[in-house]
Amino acid sequence: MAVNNAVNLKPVITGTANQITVVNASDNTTSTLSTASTQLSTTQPMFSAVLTTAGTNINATGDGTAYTVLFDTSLTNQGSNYNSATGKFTAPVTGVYLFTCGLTINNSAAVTSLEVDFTLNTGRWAIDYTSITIPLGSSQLFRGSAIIPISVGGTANVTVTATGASKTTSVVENTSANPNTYFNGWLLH
Amino acid sequence: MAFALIFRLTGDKMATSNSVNNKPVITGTANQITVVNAADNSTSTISTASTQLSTTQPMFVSIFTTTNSTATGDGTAYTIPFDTAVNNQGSNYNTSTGIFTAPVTGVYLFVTGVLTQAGAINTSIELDLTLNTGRWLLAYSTISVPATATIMYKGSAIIPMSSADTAKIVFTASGAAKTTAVVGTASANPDTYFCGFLLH
Repeated sequence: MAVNNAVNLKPVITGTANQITVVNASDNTTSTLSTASTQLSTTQPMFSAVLTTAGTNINATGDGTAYTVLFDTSLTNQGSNYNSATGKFTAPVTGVYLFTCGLTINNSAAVTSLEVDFTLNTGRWAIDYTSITIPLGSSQLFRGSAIIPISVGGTANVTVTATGASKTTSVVENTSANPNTYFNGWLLH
Repeated sequence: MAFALIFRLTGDKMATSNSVNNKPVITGTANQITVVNAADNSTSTISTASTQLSTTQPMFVSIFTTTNSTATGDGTAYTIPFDTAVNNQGSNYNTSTGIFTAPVTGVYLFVTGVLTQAGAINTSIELDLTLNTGRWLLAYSTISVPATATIMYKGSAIIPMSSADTAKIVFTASGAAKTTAVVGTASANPDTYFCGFLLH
């Protein structure tokens, strides 16, 4: 029967005690409906990435440089749409995405403004912003979240821009169990 | 198989034989398909409704309703007991302890907002989402907070957790006496809250 269904390009439905499985007749991909009270997907795009290694994040900005944070460790990266080398998420399908981020910032010199953006290929969303001078030697966490429609192939990354000083503003890394700086995203359904 | 599915929808006879074969039973009404677990009769539905809601997916929304005016200020790490759960689907959040326990291994989204009032000058503040395995920094500052300043701290994060892992919100203010308050208000007008849910 499965073969007949495939010929007719209808999905094949199979199952076990607690779930039904629908098999795509064209490419044999599967989707399941479970009777469990918690519903989990192993395919819905999502990622949770943290900054754990000191690198370009040290003395990254302060002089107006727009620095793209490279969150190097992915705690989860379902669908592999987040690239830890570039810090960039690429939308696998057109849809609405939820993003959150937190950035711990050390200022070795006083900066006169600081901006954190979700930077898209089509523009940017301001996530955190201040034009109140940040004292030298201070450490602060900047953060935000947004729900953003993105077309397939569109990209999103986190940039931080501090101005008014020398290039001595750093983004702070930490162990992956105790993140100071992180970027997360998820395709709403 | 497509014919078999249609057949199952038409009567209980096929359903019974599926159950015997330890396969799920598929039934339905005019606007939904219901899958019955052959082993324990638990059910799951696919609805044709334009909005999809789950009555079982774990989530909680809890509010801190009574101000604690001596929560911290002296470096005390204060676990906020968000005491009034306006939603607690799955009952995984404990309003007495302020602790959420993950019912399954998965990825969870958390959001919190915490309104504070410094009783004296606080030289640093920290707001953590504290797990049994570590902590995520949600708010942090080493810029002095003036005495009597009222400030809102907040954050959100998407965090992979294993089954039985725990999460809570901890606020720490340092540099003064224990006179920094976490502000509670009526649940209709929350100032301080903690929400979470299991992404799918």
